[in-house]
Amino acid sequence: VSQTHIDLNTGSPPATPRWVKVLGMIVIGVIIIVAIGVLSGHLNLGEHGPGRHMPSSHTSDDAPSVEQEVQPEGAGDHTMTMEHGGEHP
Amino acid sequence: MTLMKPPLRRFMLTAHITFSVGWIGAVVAFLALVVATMSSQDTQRVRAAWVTMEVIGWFAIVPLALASLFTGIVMSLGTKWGLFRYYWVLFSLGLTSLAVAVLLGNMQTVSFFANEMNATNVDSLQNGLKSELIHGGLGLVVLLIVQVLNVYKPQGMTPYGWRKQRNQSRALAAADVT
Repeated sequence: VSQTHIDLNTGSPPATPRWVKVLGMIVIGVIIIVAIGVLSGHLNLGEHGPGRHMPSSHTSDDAPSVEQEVQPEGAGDHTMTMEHGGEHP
Repeated sequence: MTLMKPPLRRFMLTAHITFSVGWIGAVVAFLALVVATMSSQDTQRVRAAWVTMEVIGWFAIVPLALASLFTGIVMSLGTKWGLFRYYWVLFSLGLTSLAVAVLLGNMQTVSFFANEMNATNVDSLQNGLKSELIHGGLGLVVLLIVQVLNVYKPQGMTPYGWRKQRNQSRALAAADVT
């Protein structure tokens, strides 16, 4: 018991394992690369949320959005019965 | 913290494994549709793929992902591992939460394309498929990393976990002395 007391009182938190540092750097690196790619327009991951469905939304000049192809009078036609979050007009 | 009794723990573990592996399988099915449709010039085929991807997403991937996250949190809180005590649990929780957040955001896009049945240009529908290939591919990699972490449980205790264990040891030692 006394030995346990000595270890607990004088010990310090264990060092961060190497795999944690490596995996952490990989995860942060991937997030930064994806963020830079999306912000610079080189990586098109699509827009999320209600803004994706606004008529004026455009991500890039060379990738026309589906809205541009849609006939306005047929915008409400859906074969699916599901509606999610009211994102469709 | 109250630990789960062995029968309940085994049941929750079975459920967690089932949901997690099912999530990976559903993502693979989603990716198979994307890859099989990417080179197609048949507009009807591409539209059908988007509708199927929406069904797989909302009725298989999303429920399995939420169930996997929920059972994982319950398992962590009900066992010695805790949520923030070990690095492997911390990474699993973080990566799974990130995957669920991206999934829910991306499903809005999938639903949008699935319901755009009047799109006349197959190229616009296929542009969306490229995005889904990236989303699904990266998601699958993240899920496999989490799976490996959960199976191997690499050692490493967080400073928080170390303090909690030290406090518990001190309490036990004090009880022994008295």
